[in-house]
Amino acid sequence: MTTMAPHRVLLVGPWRGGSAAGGCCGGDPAGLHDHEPPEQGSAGNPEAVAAADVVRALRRALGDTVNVELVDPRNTVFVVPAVYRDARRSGLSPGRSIGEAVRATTPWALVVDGRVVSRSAELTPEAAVALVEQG
Amino acid sequence: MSAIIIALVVLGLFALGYRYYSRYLADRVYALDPNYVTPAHELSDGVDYVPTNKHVLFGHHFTSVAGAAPILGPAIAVFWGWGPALVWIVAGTIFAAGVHDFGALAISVRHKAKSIGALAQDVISNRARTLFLVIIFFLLTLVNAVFAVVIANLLVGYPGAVIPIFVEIPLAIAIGQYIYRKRTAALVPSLVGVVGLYLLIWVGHLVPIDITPLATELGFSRPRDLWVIILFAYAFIASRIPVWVLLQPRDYINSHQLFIALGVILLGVAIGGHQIVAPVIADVPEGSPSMFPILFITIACGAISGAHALIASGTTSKQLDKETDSRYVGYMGAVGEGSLALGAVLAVTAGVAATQVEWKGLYATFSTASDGAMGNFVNGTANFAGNLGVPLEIGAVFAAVVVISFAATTMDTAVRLQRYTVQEIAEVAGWRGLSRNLTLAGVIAVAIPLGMALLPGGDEKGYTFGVLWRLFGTTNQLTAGLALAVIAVWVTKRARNPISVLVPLVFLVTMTSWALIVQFFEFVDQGEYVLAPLDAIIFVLAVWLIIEAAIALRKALAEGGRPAGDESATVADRTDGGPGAA
Repeated sequence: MTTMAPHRVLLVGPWRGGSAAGGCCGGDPAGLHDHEPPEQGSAGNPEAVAAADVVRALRRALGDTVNVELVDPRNTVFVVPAVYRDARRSGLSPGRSIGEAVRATTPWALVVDGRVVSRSAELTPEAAVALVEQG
Repeated sequence: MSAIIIALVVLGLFALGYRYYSRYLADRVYALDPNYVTPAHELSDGVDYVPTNKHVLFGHHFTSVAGAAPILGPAIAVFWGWGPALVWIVAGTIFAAGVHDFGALAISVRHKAKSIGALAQDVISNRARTLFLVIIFFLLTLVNAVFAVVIANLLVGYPGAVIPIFVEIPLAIAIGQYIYRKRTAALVPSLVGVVGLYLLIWVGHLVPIDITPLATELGFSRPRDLWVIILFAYAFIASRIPVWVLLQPRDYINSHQLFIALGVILLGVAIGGHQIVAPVIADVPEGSPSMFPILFITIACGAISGAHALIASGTTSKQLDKETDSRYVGYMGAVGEGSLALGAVLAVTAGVAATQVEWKGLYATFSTASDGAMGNFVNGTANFAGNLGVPLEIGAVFAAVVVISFAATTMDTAVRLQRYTVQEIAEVAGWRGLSRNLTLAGVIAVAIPLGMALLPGGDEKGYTFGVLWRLFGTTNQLTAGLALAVIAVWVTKRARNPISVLVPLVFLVTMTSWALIVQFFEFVDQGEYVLAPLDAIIFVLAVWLIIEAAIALRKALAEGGRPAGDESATVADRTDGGPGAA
């Protein structure tokens, strides 16, 4: 179970790993996507699998001491205020915190306690763990 | 009556519903267990099954369920007065949608995050899975037909919206490609996209595109029909494009627009001090559709929407970190949708007219109410925007662009989903040629709603739309009914009191069946020989649902159920739905 931990790590998912919404009566139901050709789908593609590997490695390495979250790149309604809050808690100025919150909306952004430590799409699980441990 | 006071009262009731009723559901009906190992943990693959913070998940869930549909229904239904519309929105959200959305999520989590269609098969019967597919087929057909008509009407009524709406497509693609290729922060380009879109509103206002002369030249009696054809041609192509190329960046822009529009409505109401000028209960002309049962199918999304069960038991249930989070994510998702419906009611009762006489002119008959619903919402929102210094004409195009953007994105997704549904039905029926032919499935997904959207529709202007909307409402309520039946059987099998699920289930099925019977005779009287059989088919589906639910409930009661406490024996038991589970 993910417990409340004093630190938070967010990995913003890859652009090609997001999902379609479409609003009420159109949005993202499961059970019908099995017919989606793999090259057209948003989930299960290599980038999404690579992001999954990073999250798994982070959770394994950091255990319950850190909350590790994978966030859909579309989910700015969560990312922006959460990163801003974390950044302020980490002692960053309001202006710098806004900057981090904006940068955190980059697909593949790795954010440690409100600081964006990587935006590389080539992020490996080992590199991610090292970056978070440094952070 | 002050609009802001009404808004605060409704939001207060929603808060009470969440605080107390959802707590009762969590403790007594769904018996949530904070230590339950959710599929996100048990099947964790980091791609589909990912334990996710409840606030993160709520953001995803809410932006997946919020769209144009909770605006349209209430904008029509205030025809009977704002009182009944708001009562149904509030009661429906608290006692029906909350139970339904929360329940679909909680039960899916107890069954390895299976979709509601698969749960229907597991919990009710194999036939229920087929019933689910057929209902979804009709739901998506009607969604596509009504949304095509809505967009077409708005493009005809607000020709200034044509340029922004059509430029939004390449704009979204360009933004998506820019974010993907440049590996840049998505917020800035997407906000630039929104600003660009709003600048195009000004361009569109200066250069309105009226399609009427071309439509006349081509022999169309109604210009909207040409738009409908263009829209379906676009949707067919868009549904073949990978999600991340067009749909996702457009969605991104839309999610900003959702909050901008909500902000404009609430701030506009607060600053403008608007009064609701519509009557609490309207004195409708003789021969109008009766409030019972038609109100309850006119407002589907915003009071209860079966589509939410699809979404809750889809991505959301795969990502739930703790079972107890389903209360927040599921119930609050319903409340969010109810809040959108509230915004729509305020726009069409307080924003659109200065006096009751003026308002009554807009809602003189059910046909004018149906036909003008979107226009009334657009003009009402424009008036609220006017309080924030936005010129009225620009505000109207802004509101039209917001609604069309939502509706068009829903149409994109729904055409895509309909293609899969056609393939799934073909698979069940053993038509292998169709189940494997994407193009043919796509053509079917487009051709049937296109035909419906082009129906001549009697003599009155708003007739076709009003009728299609009501049929859409019935299929949406049937989808919700099927999900509630699954939830009721599941709860009964666990020897818990199912009354909180049975009451909305019985209410919905009664209203839907009643409405279908009333409409059937109307169609026959009016010689509507396309709509009458369609109505009859949906009625048969309703009867089928009632029979399936009754058989399953009787069986569950006969089995006597099991005490809820037995479910938490082992992890293996729980992930299979617990001992005694279907």
